[in-house]
Order: sequence, then C-alpha cells, then structure tokens
Amino acid sequence: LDPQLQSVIGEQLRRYYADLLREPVPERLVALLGKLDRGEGGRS
Amino acid sequence: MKIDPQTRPELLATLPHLRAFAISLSGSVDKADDLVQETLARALTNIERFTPGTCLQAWLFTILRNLFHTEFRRRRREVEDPDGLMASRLAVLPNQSGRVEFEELRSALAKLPPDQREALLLVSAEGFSYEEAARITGAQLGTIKSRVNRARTRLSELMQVDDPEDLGPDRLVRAVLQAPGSFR
Repeated sequence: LDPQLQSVIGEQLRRYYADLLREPVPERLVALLGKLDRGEGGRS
Repeated sequence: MKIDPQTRPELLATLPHLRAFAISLSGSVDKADDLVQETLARALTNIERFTPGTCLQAWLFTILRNLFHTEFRRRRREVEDPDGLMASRLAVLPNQSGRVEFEELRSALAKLPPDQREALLLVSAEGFSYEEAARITGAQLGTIKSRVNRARTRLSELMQVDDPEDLGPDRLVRAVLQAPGSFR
C-alpha cells in the first residue's frame, strides 16, 4: 500500500480519535465511580 | 469496593480513553456509555484481580473489549446472522456525535470486521504497542499485526482514496454540502 496514503489515513484516524478524547465524559459515568466507591453498587 | 487513593486519579484519567475506544469500536455513543458503565462496575467488583504497578488502562480496555465482543456475538446469534453482516451493519453509527469531517472515516470503520477495527484502534489510534494490543485482545502477536495491516488496507479501499489530496478541503466542502440540515 502507498505509504503516503497510509500516513494520510493514519493521520485522519488520529485526529478523529483525538476529537473523541476531548469530548467531556458524561456526568453519569463520573458519578457512577463515586457511587461504586461508596459501595452503593453500579446498576440503576 | 473502595478505590485505592492512588488508583482513583488514574481511573479518572482513563475514562476519556475508555469512552473514545468504546465509541469508535461500537459506533454508537449510547452503546459506548453503557459499555463504559458496565466496565467500571466490573472493574471495581474485581479490583483485587488487578495487579498494582501494571497498566490499569490496559486492564480496563481488556474488560471493555470482552464485554463488547460478548454482546456482539450474542446479537449475531439472535438475528441468525452467521456471517455477522447484519450485526456489522447494525453497528453503523446512527447517533454518533462528532464532526462531518470524520463522517467517511466513521462509516468505513464501521464496515471493518470487529476484530480488525479493534486492532487498528488499539494500535493506530490509542497508541498501544502490538505486544500490549495482543495481551488486551488475547490474540497472538502475529495475528494482531496482520489484523492491523488488513484493517489499514481495507480502510483505504473503503475510503476510495486514489489521490491523497482528495482527502483535503474539497472533499470536506462536498461532505458539508451533502450533509442534510447543514444550513441552519
């Protein structure tokens, strides 16, 4: 496979992923961590 | 189970990574958040199985991908879809947030077989070594390398890139023009 093409697609994949990483984590997931930590269980 | 004070910040720092991996693996934000939620619950129930000093992120990724594959196999059986064609189409991204710029990449990713998508995301997006990716997925090193290679090849075929410059601004403008509801 064309190395230049590979690097273009690789670069796009990394930018896409970096974009996802910047998304704020939903409050419910952070809150869940606290609940689990206090031994209140994770299922709603 | 109380979280070790040293583990807590590490766990919080891992959350965005778990979520990004889950979103790009499952193709759905809702499904991803359920996966992350279940992963955290399982991790904390089994925290004594975690070996301190080893990579917490890799351990959590292992739990998450096992949950994902169990669910994927279950769904494939339910719809009597032995080749997984339906199941892989179902994974196509109806409610994923994000920029139109990545529309084509997302749709191509969703068409990859789950094993290949997973290997590509772990190595090329998340930056795990081949060795770490092999441990996380329970696959042989050679298998992981070949999955990543096949994923890369398939991705470029799916994105039909004949000329790398075709991924530039012109293509982006076209994508925006074609996106429904983009003029508001």
